[in-house]
Amino acid sequence: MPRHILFGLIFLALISLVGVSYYYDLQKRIHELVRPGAEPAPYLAIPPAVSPSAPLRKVKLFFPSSRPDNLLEVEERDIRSSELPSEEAKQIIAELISGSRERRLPALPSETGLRELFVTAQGLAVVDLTQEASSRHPGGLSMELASIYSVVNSLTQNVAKISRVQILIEGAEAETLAGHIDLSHPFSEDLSMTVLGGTAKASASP
Amino acid sequence: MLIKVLGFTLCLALWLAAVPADSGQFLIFHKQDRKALPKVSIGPQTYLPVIDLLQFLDLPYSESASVGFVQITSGRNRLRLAKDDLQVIANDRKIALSAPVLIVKNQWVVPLDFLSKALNRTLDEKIAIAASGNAAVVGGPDFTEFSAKVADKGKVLRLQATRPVSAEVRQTGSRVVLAFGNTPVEFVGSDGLQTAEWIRSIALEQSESTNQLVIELANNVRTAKISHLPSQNAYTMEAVLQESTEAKPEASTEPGRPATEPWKWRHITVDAGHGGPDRGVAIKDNTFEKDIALAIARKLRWALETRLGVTVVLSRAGDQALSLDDRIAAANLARSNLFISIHTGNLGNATVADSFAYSARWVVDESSAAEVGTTRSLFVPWWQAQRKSLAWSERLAECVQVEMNRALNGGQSLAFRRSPIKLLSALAMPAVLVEIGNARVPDFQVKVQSEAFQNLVAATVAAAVEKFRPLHERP
Repeated sequence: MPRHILFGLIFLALISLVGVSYYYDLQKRIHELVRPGAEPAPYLAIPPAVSPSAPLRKVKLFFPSSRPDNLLEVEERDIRSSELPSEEAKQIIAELISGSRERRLPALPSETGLRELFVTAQGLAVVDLTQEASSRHPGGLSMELASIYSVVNSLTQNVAKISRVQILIEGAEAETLAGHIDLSHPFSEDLSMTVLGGTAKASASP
Repeated sequence: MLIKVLGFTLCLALWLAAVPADSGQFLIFHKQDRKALPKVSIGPQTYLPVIDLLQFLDLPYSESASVGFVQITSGRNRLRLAKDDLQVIANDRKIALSAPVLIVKNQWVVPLDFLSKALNRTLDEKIAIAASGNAAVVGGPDFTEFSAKVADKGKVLRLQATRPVSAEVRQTGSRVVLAFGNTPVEFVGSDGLQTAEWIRSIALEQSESTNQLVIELANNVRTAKISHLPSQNAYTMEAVLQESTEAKPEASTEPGRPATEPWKWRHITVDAGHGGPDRGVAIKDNTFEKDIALAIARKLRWALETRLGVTVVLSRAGDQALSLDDRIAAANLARSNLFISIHTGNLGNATVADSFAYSARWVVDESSAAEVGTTRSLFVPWWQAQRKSLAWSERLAECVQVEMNRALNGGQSLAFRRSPIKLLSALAMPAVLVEIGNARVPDFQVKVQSEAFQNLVAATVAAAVEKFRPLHERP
């Protein structure tokens, strides 16, 4: 083979090698730009702004009971106190997501994250959960009701400034959490679910 | 300007012509049974809901609204209907109908001549259609035609039938009824009725519950002598007038009939919970709440139709995603008299598998909403449409709970539950959600998949609805 043709072929091979590697590199970079890498979502997207030296205070968390009547049961935890109701509320939700320490049922799926939580001047707490709260929910009307009132009661019972709770999923009003209970309106505290007495309490007049 | 007005009028007329309207019923006689199908008028055409017809005739079919076909099988014969197509295919032969096959309000509808042109060639049984266009006989005897003739200078009414027939004759006040049971009859007309002043009217009343010829007599008729002439296939009637020709005031009231017609159920929606990617509770292996709910809903539909003789519609017929708003809109638009949603439970505890009935409840704005339920408020926000039916829903939930306690909850006396359920709160009719058992209980996971248990659930809920019906139908 003449030498100039050999050089030409080697040059072409090099060019195509550089071209192919550039193409793959470009594709990778576009991929990264379009879909940022999924990081495991922490319970709190924005950690509560509390001082680690702030005094601890006891709170009563509501978890679904594992007993047959499926009511809510109270479990005590410690959180760091704060002057801002939203910061205390964030810690309460994080504790709820982390689950019961006394073998009660999960209030929310463990994969759930809290995207944002704020409290309005009128006492409405807006709790914005990630979609796992809905997509990983085990389903069933009773479990759904228990999940909702675990959140609602845990907030209204422990943070004086919160009187009603609106649950959002991924920043938007959701129809339901698992197909039954209306999430389009805020919920007020309902302690009837924690009162013992079988089914009679569930059919008490609204 | 004139052109615009004309154009607008034309558009309005076309739109009005295209809006489906409910226009009476079409009665089908089959074997020892009969069923009234609602007739739908679209423009000049009259349509019938074909799936209801096939189910009544027990004809196997498969359908897909999304692909747009219905296939009917009868022995070796096949009939294929395509959406918006004027032609149907019977065993590879094309048959043209007078109007295209349509899907209206999620229902397959066919023009009336589908019966005589297409179904007649597919079925082994003969189909006879009444001249009135309001009834048909499938397989059975042909229609017995009745004609009325007044003879003997207006004194005698003769009802002549085209074939031997026997009727149960009843007389209540000024109303004479010839009831024919399940024999298909047709009234073809009368002659000389104007010469008989003692007869006010003759009419054929046909529905799922009645099949009778009704002769209304004038007020001055004390009684009517009715004779059956079996050899001549005829009935004759002669009036015995009151001595005084003046009508007595009390004769104008008809003791056999209530002053106002009772209000009747005509439509029930059965909703299978979840569907499509929303699988509901995982029950076992690849079985989910959506599958079980659909299987029970189908059985409940049959149980209700059989027991009550009312049209029952499923909110979803297959495994499709359906939003809660779509379910609500469909039931409200169809003006359903009742709504039952089927779900399976998940109590988070693996020992009890009790079933519960739920009615709606609101968690907020109680003070402002309290007035909605009263008669003073004219308008109800759509998401609170249930408020006006809530008292009935609670009675229905109680009926369902009592029956479930007996048949499914081992005789316990559990109360029904109230819950802020999105689906129920916007329904404008008595509505309950039924949650069956507990998916965490291993025994229940097996049991709920069995046909026998699903039939038991359907029969239990249907029995409750049957008990609720007389309470609700006479408000």
